[in-house]
Amino acid sequence: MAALIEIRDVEKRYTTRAGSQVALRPTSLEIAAEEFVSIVGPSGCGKTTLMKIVAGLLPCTRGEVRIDGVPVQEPPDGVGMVFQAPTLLRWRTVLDNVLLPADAQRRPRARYEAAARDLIRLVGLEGFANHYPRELSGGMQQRVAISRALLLEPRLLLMDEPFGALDAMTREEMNLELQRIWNEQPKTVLFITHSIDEAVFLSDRVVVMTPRPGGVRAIIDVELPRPRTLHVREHPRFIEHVGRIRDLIWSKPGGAIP
Amino acid sequence: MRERLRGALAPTIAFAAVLALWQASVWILRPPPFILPGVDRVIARLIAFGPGWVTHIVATIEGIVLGFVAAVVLGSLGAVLIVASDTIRRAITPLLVTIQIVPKIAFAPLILVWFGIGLTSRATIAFLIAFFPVLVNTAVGLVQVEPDLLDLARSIRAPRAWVFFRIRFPSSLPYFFAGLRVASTLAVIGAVIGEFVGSDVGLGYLIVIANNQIDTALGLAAIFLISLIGLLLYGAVVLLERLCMPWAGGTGGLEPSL
Repeated sequence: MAALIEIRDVEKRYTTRAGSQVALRPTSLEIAAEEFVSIVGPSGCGKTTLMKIVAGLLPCTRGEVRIDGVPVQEPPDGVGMVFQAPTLLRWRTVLDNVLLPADAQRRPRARYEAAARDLIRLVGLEGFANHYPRELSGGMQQRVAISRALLLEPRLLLMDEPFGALDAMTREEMNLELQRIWNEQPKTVLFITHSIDEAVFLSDRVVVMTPRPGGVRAIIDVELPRPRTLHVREHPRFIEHVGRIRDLIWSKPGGAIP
Repeated sequence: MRERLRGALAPTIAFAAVLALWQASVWILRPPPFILPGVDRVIARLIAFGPGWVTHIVATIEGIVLGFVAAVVLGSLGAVLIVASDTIRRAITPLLVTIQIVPKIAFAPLILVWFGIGLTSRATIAFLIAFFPVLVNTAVGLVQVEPDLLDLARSIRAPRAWVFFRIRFPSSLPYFFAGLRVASTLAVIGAVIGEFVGSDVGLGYLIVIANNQIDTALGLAAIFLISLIGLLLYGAVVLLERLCMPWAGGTGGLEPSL
């Protein structure tokens, strides 16, 4: 399978008064089309930095990212983003929020309205198209954000801790929902989380990052069959993966596992 | 509607209690009327003055509204300039801070020298103290936009002008209106001070005259009318706010709201 995203020796340094700080050590990673890859690691390990570099929102100090062979210099077409906060516009209804990318690019609304309504249905918000964000719960708002990211039919979906602000129950529900959406509309997904559990549940591969200064420690293949149910968490392979990833995050390279 | 009536009940009782306490202490302590007339005397004076109020009320409203409108127009234009240009911001921010520290009221006698007795002086003083809250609030509102929202806008490749009109401008509205609320009360103070310092008409002027004639009931009646005007202006601002931001659900957009 040809890689859709190639991340080659990407490094990020910040120059501060204290000197040059490494936010992300040289990182390489290839992601295939329609693959679901999670990046898991503790806070401050450079997960978000890496995602912003892939999204073309942040220049890297060294290395390069290519999407479909084209080097990323500014935000490319065909990428949808979901952040930890829903980042909805409070003055727009659900429908108008979902239509935001089309509006920003001055595309005719009429051409996208049907698609937006389909997406609202896809994420389970049928009947809420004319509601304002404040009338929705946190989980529902995040569903709107997912619909918005899918509107222009991106090949790549970048999700930065999208369920990090939700309670545990809603989070499990959203994990199932995301898997279902991904099954119905297969996309390449780069998913950032600090929940090991969530990463293993959703992903084909999990990229494990080390604490600051962050870098890739290992990449774990999750070969558990799909579609996965909530009970996959009781599967011995699942438990094994989770344990292994936890060890990888907190052990020093070459050192003993605590 | 019944909910509303019930909501209005407690404040009405509080108002009535204060007036009752005032009236009761006048009955019990019997202060000379020129020190503290009872509510009954103030109401009697209010009615007895009759059509005499009209010119004074009109003059005061003119000063307030002219100063307030000028503050809103110039304050928000100034905020847009500050936010749009780094050069302008760097050049005038220290100046603005300095001017903000200077007590504007201290300029009142000077403004009288510059503009003479009349509406121009009164409106200018009202403008001077109402201007800064509008300017500062609007500027803060335009600058403070969720960073994720700006990243989102970049990732969907939104043009700069679109970001300003569709994201920055609407998200500044709650701050703009918070500034307007403060400005509406300050404009009343400014106009009345203008009438104190040098005027031959207006409710503030009438207070000075009443004081000289030891007509305390008339002074209090004038204060009552000024408060009523201030309250009406404030109410108009709140109403406008609700009309402009139906999506905020009447909470004024900023939480917590009074």
